[in-house]
Amino acid sequence: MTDSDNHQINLDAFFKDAREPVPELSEALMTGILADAGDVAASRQVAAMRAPVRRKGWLARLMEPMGGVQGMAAVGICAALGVTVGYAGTDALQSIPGVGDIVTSISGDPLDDFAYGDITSFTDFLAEG
Amino acid sequence: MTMAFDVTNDTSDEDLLSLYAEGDQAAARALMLRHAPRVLALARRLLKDPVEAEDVTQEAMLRLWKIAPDWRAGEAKVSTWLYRVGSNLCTDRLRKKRGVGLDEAPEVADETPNVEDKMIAADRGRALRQAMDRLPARQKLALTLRHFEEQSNPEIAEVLETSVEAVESLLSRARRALAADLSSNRSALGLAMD
Repeated sequence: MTDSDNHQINLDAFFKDAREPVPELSEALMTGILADAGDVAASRQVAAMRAPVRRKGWLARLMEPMGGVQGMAAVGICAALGVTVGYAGTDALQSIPGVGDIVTSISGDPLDDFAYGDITSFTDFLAEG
Repeated sequence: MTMAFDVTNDTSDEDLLSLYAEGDQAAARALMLRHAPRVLALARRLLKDPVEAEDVTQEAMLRLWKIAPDWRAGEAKVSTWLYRVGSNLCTDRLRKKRGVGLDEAPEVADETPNVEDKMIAADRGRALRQAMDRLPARQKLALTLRHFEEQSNPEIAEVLETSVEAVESLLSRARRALAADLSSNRSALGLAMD
């Protein structure tokens, strides 16, 4: 502290005289503070246990009856496979190992069920109308 | 995990808070022993009511327990944060009960060696407290933090949520007002003012 600040009075002496030792905490106060600490910790644990399960979004809820995401993925793969197979020519089908034998065993001539004149594939079918 | 802590060990306040947030009650005890007495001292000076000062201390510590999981390391010192919360709680209480008499101030615990010195010291201490009570609240708080809680100006600035320059100005004005007040009461006090 500077003299000008103190205005000819030694404030430091006053502060020194007014200084008190740091008070000790009473037993009651310590008990209260620690009880609060315990209560807060306990309520935090309870809140964590009671945390609500996160609600599913509308898309997830919509897909749930159809097997959820996995079920919808399987449906999507099958649909894509079906379209691919549909667009592919019968020759292409027969070239797939094993499939040609199955087609033959079912219909004898693998093209009987598919061939109408010159139509030998779904693309031809679409072109023919 | 529960560890044995005492006030003097090296565990930082932030680590203790983190441990408490994980459920360690020993950490809470260490934090209490480390900080609650200082908050209590500040509250006693500001409120001059030991019972209310204890309430404020408990409330400030409760707020610390609540904020523990969200404490952001490095943003503030726990001690400074507690001083800020404590002083705000005191200010709220003082606002609610304006007009409390100065005579309710607790007696100073003095440790001077002889009776005459003790009386002079007690008188000077009382005169200072009374003069401080006449200061604006922020000036009184700044002086209390600086001279009784031995906080640095940057720490006081954090407590008061203002700049260091503003704190310096506040302290300077407070000292001038205090010195003028004590000077005017020199004869009434019958004291040698050094």
